[in-house]
Amino acid sequence: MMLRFQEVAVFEHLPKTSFSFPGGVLGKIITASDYSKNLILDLLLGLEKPEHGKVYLFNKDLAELSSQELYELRRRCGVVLSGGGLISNLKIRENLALPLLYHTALHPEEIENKLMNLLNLTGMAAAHSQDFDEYFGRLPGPLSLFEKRQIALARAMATDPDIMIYDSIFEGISSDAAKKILEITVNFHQQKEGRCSIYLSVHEDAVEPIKTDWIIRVAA
Amino acid sequence: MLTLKPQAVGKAFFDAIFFLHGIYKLFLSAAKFIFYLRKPPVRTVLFKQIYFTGIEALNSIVIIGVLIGLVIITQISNLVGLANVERTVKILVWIVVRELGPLFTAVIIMARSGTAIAAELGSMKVSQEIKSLEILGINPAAYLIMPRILGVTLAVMILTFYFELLTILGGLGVASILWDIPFWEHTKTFLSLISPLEITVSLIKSLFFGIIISTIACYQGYIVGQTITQIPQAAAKAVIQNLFLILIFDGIITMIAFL
Repeated sequence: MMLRFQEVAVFEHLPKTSFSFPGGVLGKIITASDYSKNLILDLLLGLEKPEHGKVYLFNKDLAELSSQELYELRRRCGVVLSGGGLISNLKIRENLALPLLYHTALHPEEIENKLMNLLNLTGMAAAHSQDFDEYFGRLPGPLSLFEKRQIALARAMATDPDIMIYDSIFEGISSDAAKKILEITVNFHQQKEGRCSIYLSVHEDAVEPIKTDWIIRVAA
Repeated sequence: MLTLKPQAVGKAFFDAIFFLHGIYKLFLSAAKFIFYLRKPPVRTVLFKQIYFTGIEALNSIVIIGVLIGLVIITQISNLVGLANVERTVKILVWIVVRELGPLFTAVIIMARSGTAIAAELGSMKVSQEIKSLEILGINPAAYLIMPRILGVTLAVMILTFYFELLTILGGLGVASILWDIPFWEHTKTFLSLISPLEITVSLIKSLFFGIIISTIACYQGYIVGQTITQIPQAAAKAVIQNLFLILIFDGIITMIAFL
């Protein structure tokens, strides 16, 4: 089991909640509020501890792990936050390369090749073929929400994670942009056997285009 | 009439203990990641910090150093007379190398880099960038804090040496032009009078001051909550706390070394 919530509860914010995601599943978690959505994300990554119940990630009880072991587990997860989660004092190119430079011993040329493949996959390479160096040498502050999510998506995909988590990635952007992201994420899910992809959202209609029977609704 | 409430005194005491414990824990948690310097992104943060704190502060250090040197030489010469070379230089060594060199450098770096680090980390905390790093599996203590502490400490130690050199030689140089003070005679006397003890104490002070400035700045930035108004407050707190702790350590080291 990739992810399992076993009677997880946080007083006043999350009633007792149990669900699981096995490997290979593409599923949705729909919450009643933004707060409970962010709380579930923090719980499943070990950034918060539940007041009741247990959270298992890759069959490991997160409460039993040291902080260093938690960081190791998070390397196997790719997360795309709704705001992108880019580091503002790093250029776009540096943001993209950060997980690979930090976690792997790949040569700069190998990292460059890997990132080019991802930029082709997300369509960013084609969109900025004329001003490639100038665009990817910028700081991410002035970028649009869609661009930030594209970069965050490429960065999350770079380490070939076993679990991909998408936090409200279809909201706040145009329907064409949302369709583009949906296509990229579904294709990426299929590229690795056993990869689990989870879409978190408050709005059911935002994730309606995702065709799956694995739907978890978390009550208020 | 002001009345000192016992509860206020007690709270201030426990706040101070909590703060000292917090910076101690932060320093230890960052120090254990020193071997993470093998990772290129961590080295990049270290080099950027050394550049910002050390290289970019050189102009300020040069100007302030020469001006301070001139003022001190003038006052010493008035006190002991222009002819008394040995006494002039001895007082100069005591004041600059033992005390003003490490202190003034620390104050300049504290005002410049300490506030910047506290504001930067506070801003990253408010905008959830630190959480983003944790989600990427990157420990903020290893990537953000350890290279900043190391970078600032190295920069403070090197800048202290430059400050002392510029203060003494620059001050003597300007004074030799304005008041016909024999420059080479004073410089040779300085080189003969400066002792390993003075250099060691200056080094130890700058080491401690560098660690204090960077650790407090990182601590104040890291504990910022979720509101933007806490960012300038963090920078201001970092300055005041740095000032207190630097003066306390300065006093302790001076008493241990020279009493």
